Amino acid sequence: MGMIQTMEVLLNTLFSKPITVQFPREAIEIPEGYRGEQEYDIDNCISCGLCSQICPNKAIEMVEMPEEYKEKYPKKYPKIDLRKCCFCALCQDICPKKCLRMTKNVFLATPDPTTVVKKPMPKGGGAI
Amino acid sequence: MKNLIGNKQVSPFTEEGTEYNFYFGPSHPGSGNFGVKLRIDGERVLSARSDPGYLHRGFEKLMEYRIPMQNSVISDRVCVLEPLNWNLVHAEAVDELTGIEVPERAKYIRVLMAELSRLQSHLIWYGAMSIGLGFDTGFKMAFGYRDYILDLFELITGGRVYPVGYICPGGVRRDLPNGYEEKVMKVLTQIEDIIQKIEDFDNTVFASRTKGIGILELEDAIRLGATGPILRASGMKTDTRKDDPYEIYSELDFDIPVEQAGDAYARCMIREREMKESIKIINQVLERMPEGKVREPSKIMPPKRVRIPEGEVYIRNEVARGEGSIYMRSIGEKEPYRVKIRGPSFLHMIPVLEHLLKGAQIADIPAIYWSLNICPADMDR
Repeated sequence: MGMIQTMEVLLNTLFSKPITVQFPREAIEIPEGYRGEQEYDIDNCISCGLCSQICPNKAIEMVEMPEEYKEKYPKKYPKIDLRKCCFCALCQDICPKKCLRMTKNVFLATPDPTTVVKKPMPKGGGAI
Repeated sequence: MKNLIGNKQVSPFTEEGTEYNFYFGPSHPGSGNFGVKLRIDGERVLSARSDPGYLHRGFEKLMEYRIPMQNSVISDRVCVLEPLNWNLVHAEAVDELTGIEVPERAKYIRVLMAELSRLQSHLIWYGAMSIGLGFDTGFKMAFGYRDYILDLFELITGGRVYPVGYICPGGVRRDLPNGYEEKVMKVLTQIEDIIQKIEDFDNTVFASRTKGIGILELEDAIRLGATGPILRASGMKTDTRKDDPYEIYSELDFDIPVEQAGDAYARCMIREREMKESIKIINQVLERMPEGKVREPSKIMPPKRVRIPEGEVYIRNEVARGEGSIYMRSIGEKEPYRVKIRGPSFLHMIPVLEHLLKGAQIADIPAIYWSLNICPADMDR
């Protein structure tokens, strides 16, 4: 590379925008269909257990509801352990009622390990 | 003071005190998760002994306890740097066993994704080699441009690095999103831009550090089991995509780059020319992309109803590093009875690397090491 070419590259680089983005002030937009944290709609769930069967990491376990909700929800419902989850979305794809859905939420780092286990809860009853 | 090299106990120093043991890796950014034990005399390598096993995760055994759909998620992890290519090898092996006819559109999507994966893998190769040679700009540039391809993967598969079984048995997990074509074309222009930059740097930094270094003669390459770009750089015109075509490669028009020198520089040249060929393939795939289904059957089967018919199969594909293969045997259960993964890096990292390092200078170790485009993950599995 000759001196003129070098200067050309140098000047171009000097006045061009950086390739990186300044997170968290700006961020790359996450597209639709991203595999992030699961969203679970208990009212549509038929307790078929397919999500727990297909999960490659055994991160989904079918559990009973706490006593206070047992009357309304007598069956077993999925409890998702995000520590084991590899976000493969097989649970979303196999769900016959589409009640498990992957969202765009990627901010899952937390100092409290109990919050990453998503227990089945009715809507408005404290999701986690 | 006694030290182990190979299986023999030898003294670290000779009587004159010029010989010593030198460890390259395994937990060093310059080596990846892989180590080489070297016996050095002054600046010259007397003998080299690869030390594999640092990244062993036991995928072959894990696959014996999971159904194919779950295994396709695991198959990503065989090589972190090119997960989609390994997805494809696994999916083809299962398709061959089950006898499912993969829809035409799915075949095109598979090739599109495999070639994009090859492009980003070659960019990593360039980046890793640059940093090995002390050329940090090349490393940052390559990884920066690789991110444009990762953005595409994020859009298509839903994840940046791991597609987690996007290419699955029977086709692909989901259809391409709207407007993918313009986005792929835009990324290809950016990749052409980086290839141009790489070529500009070739004559200065790379040539002086790589020409005549680590020469692998064709005879030795064949004897030691080299495949893919490493074998092509030694002068053999071979490519599984042409020799044993899979998916739609037989319908596509592309060349196999061959170099005669067999040194580290020739391997770098092969890489650049292959990237251009991949762009050519992607353009053809985008032009001819048919409409239709992307998976057969379109719904994921419940695990209890899955059965792999009895039989055995050996599938080989051209992954970015060479020839990647899977041997799969089924005895009619829902899980495979045995899965054997043959990663190209295994032979590149043990016999080929040991052969090339013998007699080399210490300063040339990174140049030789990274010119082999190795991936500790696919070697240890």
